[in-house]
Amino acid sequence: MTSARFPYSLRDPNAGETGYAPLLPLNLESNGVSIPVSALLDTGATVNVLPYTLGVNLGFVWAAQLINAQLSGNLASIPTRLILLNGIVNGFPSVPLAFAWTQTDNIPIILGQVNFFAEFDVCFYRSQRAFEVTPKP
Amino acid sequence: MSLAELLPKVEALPRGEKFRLVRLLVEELEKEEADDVTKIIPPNQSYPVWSPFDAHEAAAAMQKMLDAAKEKATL
Repeated sequence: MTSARFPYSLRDPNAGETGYAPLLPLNLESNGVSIPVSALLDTGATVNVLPYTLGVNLGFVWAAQLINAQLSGNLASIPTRLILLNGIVNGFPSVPLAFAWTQTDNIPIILGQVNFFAEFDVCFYRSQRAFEVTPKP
Repeated sequence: MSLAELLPKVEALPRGEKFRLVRLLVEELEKEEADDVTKIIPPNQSYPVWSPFDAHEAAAAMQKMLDAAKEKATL
């Protein structure tokens, strides 16, 4: 299989049609731990973002991460450090994914230009509430 | 009252009142449309946008980290 098609997910049942969003199921792996997650495909996000507790559950220790990062928008005031882990989508080969690990849980897992969209080509078919993901050639 | 019943009365209106009727109908339709939008996006509420937009320095640092990891893996 060269590509995989996924349905949009309903994030907010009260929002009707606007409550649907492209949430990608994938496994995040690091430190011998593998966690299935659902992450928001966000083409407007410059970088991938990981909520705090998920990073802890993946075995990362905040104090041991040495690279600080400054994000923007609503995340600008939240301490952030950079981590590297692996992502597995739909049984495709594992890819390294860098994340901005933030000290908040008030966000979804965000997949952005660096580097999710560098590893995968994605087509959005919003009118069909579906999207397709293909590993980069 | 149906449009078929109403039309003769509308046609009988003086020119000035026809223009006034058109303005009233447009205002009514615009109000209905605005009401629909506010059902989707209620006013006077904040909608946080979590996207890290234009976080170029973070992106550069992350790319550097990815490149270093790739180089290490090929050694």
